[in-house]
Amino acid sequence: MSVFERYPPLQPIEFRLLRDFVYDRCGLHFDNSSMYLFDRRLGERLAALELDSFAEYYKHLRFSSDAAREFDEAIEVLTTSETYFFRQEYQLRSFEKELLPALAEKNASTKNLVLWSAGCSTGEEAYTIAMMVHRSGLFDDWDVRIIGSDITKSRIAAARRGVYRAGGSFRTIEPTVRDKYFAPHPEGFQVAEFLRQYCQFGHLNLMDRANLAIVGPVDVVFCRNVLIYFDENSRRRVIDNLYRRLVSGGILLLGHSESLLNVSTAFELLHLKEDLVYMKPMRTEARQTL
Amino acid sequence: MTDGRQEDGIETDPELRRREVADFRTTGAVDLVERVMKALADEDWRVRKEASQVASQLAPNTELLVALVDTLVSGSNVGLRNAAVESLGSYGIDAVKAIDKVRDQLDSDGRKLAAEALARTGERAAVRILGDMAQDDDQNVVAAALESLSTVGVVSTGEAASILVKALGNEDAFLRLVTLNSINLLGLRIPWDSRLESFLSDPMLDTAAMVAAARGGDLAVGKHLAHAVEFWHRSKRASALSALGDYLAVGEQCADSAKAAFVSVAEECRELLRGLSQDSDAPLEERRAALRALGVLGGGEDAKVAVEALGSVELAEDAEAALHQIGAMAVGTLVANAREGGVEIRSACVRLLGAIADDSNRAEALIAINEAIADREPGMARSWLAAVALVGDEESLEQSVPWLRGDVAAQVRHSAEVAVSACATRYPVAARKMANQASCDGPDAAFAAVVIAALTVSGHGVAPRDVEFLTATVSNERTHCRRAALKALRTMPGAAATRAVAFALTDEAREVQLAAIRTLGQMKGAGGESLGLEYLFDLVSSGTDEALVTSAIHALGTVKALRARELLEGLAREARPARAVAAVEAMALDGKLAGVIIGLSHQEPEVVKATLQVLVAYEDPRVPTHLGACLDHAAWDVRRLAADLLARHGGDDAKRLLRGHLSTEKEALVREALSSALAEIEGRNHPSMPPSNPGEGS
Repeated sequence: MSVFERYPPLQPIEFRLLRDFVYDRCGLHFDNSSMYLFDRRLGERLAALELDSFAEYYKHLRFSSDAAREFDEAIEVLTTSETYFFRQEYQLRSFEKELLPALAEKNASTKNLVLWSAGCSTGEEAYTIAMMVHRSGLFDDWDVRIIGSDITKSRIAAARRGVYRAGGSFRTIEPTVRDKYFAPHPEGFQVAEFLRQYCQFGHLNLMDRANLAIVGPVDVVFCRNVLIYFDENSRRRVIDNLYRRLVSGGILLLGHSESLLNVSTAFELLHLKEDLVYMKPMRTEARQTL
Repeated sequence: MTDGRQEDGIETDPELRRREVADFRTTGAVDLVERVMKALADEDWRVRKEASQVASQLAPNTELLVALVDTLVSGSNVGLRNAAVESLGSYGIDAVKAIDKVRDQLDSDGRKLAAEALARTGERAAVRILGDMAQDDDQNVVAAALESLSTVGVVSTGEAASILVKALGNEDAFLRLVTLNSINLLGLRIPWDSRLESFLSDPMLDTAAMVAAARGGDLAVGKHLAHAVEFWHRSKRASALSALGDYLAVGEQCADSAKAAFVSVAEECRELLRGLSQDSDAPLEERRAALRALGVLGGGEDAKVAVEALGSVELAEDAEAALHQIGAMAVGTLVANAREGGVEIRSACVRLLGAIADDSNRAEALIAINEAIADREPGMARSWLAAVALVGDEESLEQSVPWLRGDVAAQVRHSAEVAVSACATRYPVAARKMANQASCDGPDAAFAAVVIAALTVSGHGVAPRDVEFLTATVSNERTHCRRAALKALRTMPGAAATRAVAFALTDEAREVQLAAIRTLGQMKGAGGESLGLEYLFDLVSSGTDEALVTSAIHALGTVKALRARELLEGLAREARPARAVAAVEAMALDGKLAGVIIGLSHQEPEVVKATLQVLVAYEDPRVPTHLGACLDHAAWDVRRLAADLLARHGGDDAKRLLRGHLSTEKEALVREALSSALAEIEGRNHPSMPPSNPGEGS
């Protein structure tokens, strides 16, 4: 195929094969309206691998010696979504002003805080959480862990590196905040070392309950704009897995368009000033704190 | 003849006759023995060869055995008799008994052939009969008996050695030579005495006697070797040099004895050895032996020749051995050559400087070693780091830092870890200062992690921020830094460290995941309890990535907890061979035999083979029995491996088991392994004999 030729268009049968394979492997669900997404984004992979059709690409994903790495590539292009620091700021304000002080009080005896950005992509959300924890001044001598996890390895590597080009990820960040928490880097800006020390990134599939146990008990889970990639069954499983990881009274934050309606009744709704979040019911003796 | 065959209805084409004979294996005719014997007497060698193989495979056919032995008693067909001798070996102890029965009826040719047949049986009883035959009135029979002992003697070296040492007293020089050759072929160590010494001045016996004397390792032999190297004719000098190699291999005392003896060797001889080692037209073995001899001579000029030989693939190993032998006197030459010349020689000189330098010249060596780091060639870097590991100073430590950064080959980085670790242990204050300058986020975090681990292990203390530094380094963007931090964390017990290591199981890089698994297996709490056990349990019970699961199984072997052991015992019975093998190997780390032998009952031969390889490392009297049991395994490759491993294990029990199976094993490859194993055990034993004439030994 020459550089001027477009790869052959995705056929419905090829779309179904690829879509079902992705679902089978990692639980990510794409409905019929996603066919254009597969065509456009996986088409780039066809060109990169010099394959002549999506059927060949399907075979490559299933049977080639490089299948595991290519599957990671496919998931990366299929689930790419825009992300930036301090995204959905109103929700983050609630987290910073209401939830963090409550957590400081609740965990005062252990001085331990674990926050999880589930589906962290290239790390912007995890580092945003780290900035808020730091500037709150409530956890200075605490053992704070901010965990970022994603299903694609390349995004985890990028998150770990913490280097971002000017613009893009910085669109809503104040210059003073940027100067405080980032250092100039030949490729843009790098998250300051002291902030990166809070954060750990790992390659995790939210459907894989056994593997998620490594995360340990968590106080707050950010799982924003992730459930959109799962069908109803998988969504239930993911939420159940997150529920198991949360401590009693732990908080789950979803994206602004997402809810647990028809997914789970295990959580309680917690009304904050600017947002609604989900809370794992507390044991009675701890209920007074939050 | 041809016409006669045609008249008798016998096939005239030898190839067709050979095929007919080959069919005897399956036809099973009533007159089979008669037909085989006829074929053994055939005029064509191909037919005889085929018949001989058929006759061997028909063992233990008693009727055929009698017919075969009968050819020794009467008959003049040389081809038939030779073919019969070849076949008789397969009849083992039955053949020995049958030959012994008719021995008195045999003429001298028959007795000679009987000796050859006995050699092929591999039976201990044959050795005793050959001992009798070594007293025969006929010199040819004696020679055949002594020669036969060089092969069958492996099954009973003590008995064979007694016979052979006694035979050295024969008047006939040829018989003495045959005896010496058999002694050398069996690798026996015989005592040094005046008789053996006298053989050294006999032109017919001198080379064989020198080889035997050198292997004996008597300190008095050193001066004779020096004399032989200096004065023997060139045609014999190779044997003298080879004997010198054997002598040096006996032990340090022999090396010292040779060194003292070689002091008096004339300069012309040294010159000759130097010339020989440099002579590309000379046989390789002679050049190698000359180099080893130069090592013993030990002068500065000799070091130059040895250094030059470092550039040759065939001679490099002997050249290194020679330089080690020359020792500190070679340092000057090594320093000079570490600075100039081809990269192979420079690289080897730098490495050898680290190994050879002593207190008197370490400073001089270190200057040359530290200068060499300017050379960025990867081969040179590894040599430099190997030298630094042995003698490196603070400056070397500082110069090692770049080799632990990301842009170097994994092998070089591994050498750098060893070097930095060794230097840090020698210079803890300087190492700590340098480690403190590294950022957990930067490229030198791996260096700092290696230093912290070395200082902790060597008892130089843990700094308050070490755990924090290492757990933060687990998030370093460079894979090798994360791996180094995980490796260091195994020495730092605590919840935070364990958590960081466990989370690294989710790392995107496989080498980091594997390092995390290994570290989890090794992390211990203050009371010695395993900190990573639960994580490893989870991974083994629910993991789907086979590479990680097998690695976790291995790691469970280092945990040494009852629960881990129980899980491993179950896994050793797992249908998936990779997991079963990993479990067996893991249990071996615990050192207990009971768990390991579970693998011997696995249905998959590969698991059994892996278990056997693990088993042989145990110093346990039950090992030969377990190995021996596998000589009856259904899979021939398991039986063969068991034989090989019994050879490696050695000992009387192993010999008994091997001998017992030699007569029953049908598979040719396994039989071969059984024979080789017996030969190997016997050769290794090199039994020493008492002097034949007490009081004559040195």
